[in-house]
Amino acid sequence: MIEHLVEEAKRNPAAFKQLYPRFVKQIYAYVAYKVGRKQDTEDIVSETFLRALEKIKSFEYRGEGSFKAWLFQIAHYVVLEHYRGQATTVDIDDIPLIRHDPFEDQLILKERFMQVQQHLQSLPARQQEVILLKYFGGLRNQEIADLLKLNERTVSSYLSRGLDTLQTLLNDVEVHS
Amino acid sequence: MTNIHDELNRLTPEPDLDFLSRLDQQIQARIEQEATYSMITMQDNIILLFDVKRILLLAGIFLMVLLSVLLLLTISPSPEDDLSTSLIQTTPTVAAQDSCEVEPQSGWIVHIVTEDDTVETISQRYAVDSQELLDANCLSELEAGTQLFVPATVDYVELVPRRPISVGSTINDALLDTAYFPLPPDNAIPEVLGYAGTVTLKDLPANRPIDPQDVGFTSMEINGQTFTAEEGNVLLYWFGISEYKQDTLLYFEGTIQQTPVYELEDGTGYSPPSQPLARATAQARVVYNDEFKIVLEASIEDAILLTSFRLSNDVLGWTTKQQLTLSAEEISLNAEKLVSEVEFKLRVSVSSCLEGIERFLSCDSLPQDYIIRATVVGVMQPETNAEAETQVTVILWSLDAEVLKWALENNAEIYTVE
Repeated sequence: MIEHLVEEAKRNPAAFKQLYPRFVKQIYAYVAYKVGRKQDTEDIVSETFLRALEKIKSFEYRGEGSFKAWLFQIAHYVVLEHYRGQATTVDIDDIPLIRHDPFEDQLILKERFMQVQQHLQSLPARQQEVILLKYFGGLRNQEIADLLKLNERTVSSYLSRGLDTLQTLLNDVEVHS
Repeated sequence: MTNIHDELNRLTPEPDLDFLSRLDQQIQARIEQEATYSMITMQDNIILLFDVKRILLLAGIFLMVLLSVLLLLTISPSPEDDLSTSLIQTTPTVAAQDSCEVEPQSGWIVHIVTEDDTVETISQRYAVDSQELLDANCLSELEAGTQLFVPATVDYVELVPRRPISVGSTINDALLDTAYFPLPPDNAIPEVLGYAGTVTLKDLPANRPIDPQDVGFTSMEINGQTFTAEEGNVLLYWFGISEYKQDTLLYFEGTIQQTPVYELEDGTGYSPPSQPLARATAQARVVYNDEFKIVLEASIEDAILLTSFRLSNDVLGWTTKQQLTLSAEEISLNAEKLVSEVEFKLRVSVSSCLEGIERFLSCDSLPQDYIIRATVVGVMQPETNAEAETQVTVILWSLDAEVLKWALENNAEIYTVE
């Protein structure tokens, strides 16, 4: 299905409108954890898809997940460009909406998001990237491995170590609070 | 204690509807913009089609007026004149159906019918059913000069500058999307030579300034392979420098990877987590002694408040020499010209992650089977033997610098592939 849409979009850019909505939420979540601020997230997500539209003719479909991986690659570059020399302090009011749960206070969710994001950013870059791609990008380990030019075992290792560290950091926060 | 898996799944940021709506509008606008641009490019005419519907309306009005005028002119006293024939001869044979309204689909562009066009050729070219094409344009047949809407399937002109050499999978993902621009001075070289390792600025100011300022001038020897003078001459020849001598300058522009440390008012340092990129100009100086060396001298104009910088090997590339066994055909192809622009793909098979590679890249990220695109810069001392194959020394240049360098240092197997 995705392959068909991609090929169609390469021939007729209008078909991109049927393609991109399938990935917006994942790219959004990934970028949000990278940059924190809602406005920045929206700018970067927009730029990512506009750039994908512009370059889709040069994209080569290489199996399931390849298009999604390509989008994450673009998002990664756009984040890098965007972050040139910027400070990273984000006010809680600027945090994106967290998936709505009627039984949870959005403010509490946002505070927790800020904690997790802060701890994520303290991890080594590779571990951070693997966790983001796994949990928010919905990529399988093999797809992450292909994207980051790693082998699958290394991805599992980064994932495991990163999550352990993250768990410890969050536990410390809970103990202290 | 909170389970980290549950926590990550719970804390998923989501776009709001307002943003999704705006994004959709942006995408739509870009699609229309590309379609319009494509049409302009395709026709090689500057046709401003910012509002397709408005143009279409105006065209319709114009057509109606034209038809009316022609109708008046054609109704002559001569009874033998065939009205319908006159109309067909003087206007586009667009059989506009009264009940049909042209409503171009999103992403369709305007194609101006040429004399060679037929419904079939246009349908084929734009991958659309011929009846669908006619229906969408309220037409029954075509005539040269007619405008009609077609799906935008023509190739777009690439607006984004690209690097002259395809890097493919590279060791430095962060720099993949940076463009490479050779400097334009008169004696500039078309490509960049040499490999630059980590360069540490000397004579850093004791107190790092808070305001941006030029960090000045530095130089260091490029951490590349040393060539003999003869081989160095071949390299320079390849870079278009025919009269070379001591201190010949090679100009280039590269990308630097900054590790800035901003000094805060309280005296502490602050280093942003990202790795911002900046442009820097630099020049390399040829040094002849018994050996050929290139010394990098970089004037860092854009880099401010740097503690260190690294000229991207991804941009600079690296040059080396390697023994290759080539076929007689390949030898004649390269040796005759001496300086070849033929690209060779090389496959480097690396069996294990040896000590030392960590200096350049993580062992985990080193592919076991790596395709390198390298250019044969020069072929040295070809010694043809009686066999069909000949052993030669070729000088290679590759953008996959660190992998190539490491692979060669560790005697990785290199051979040409199709």
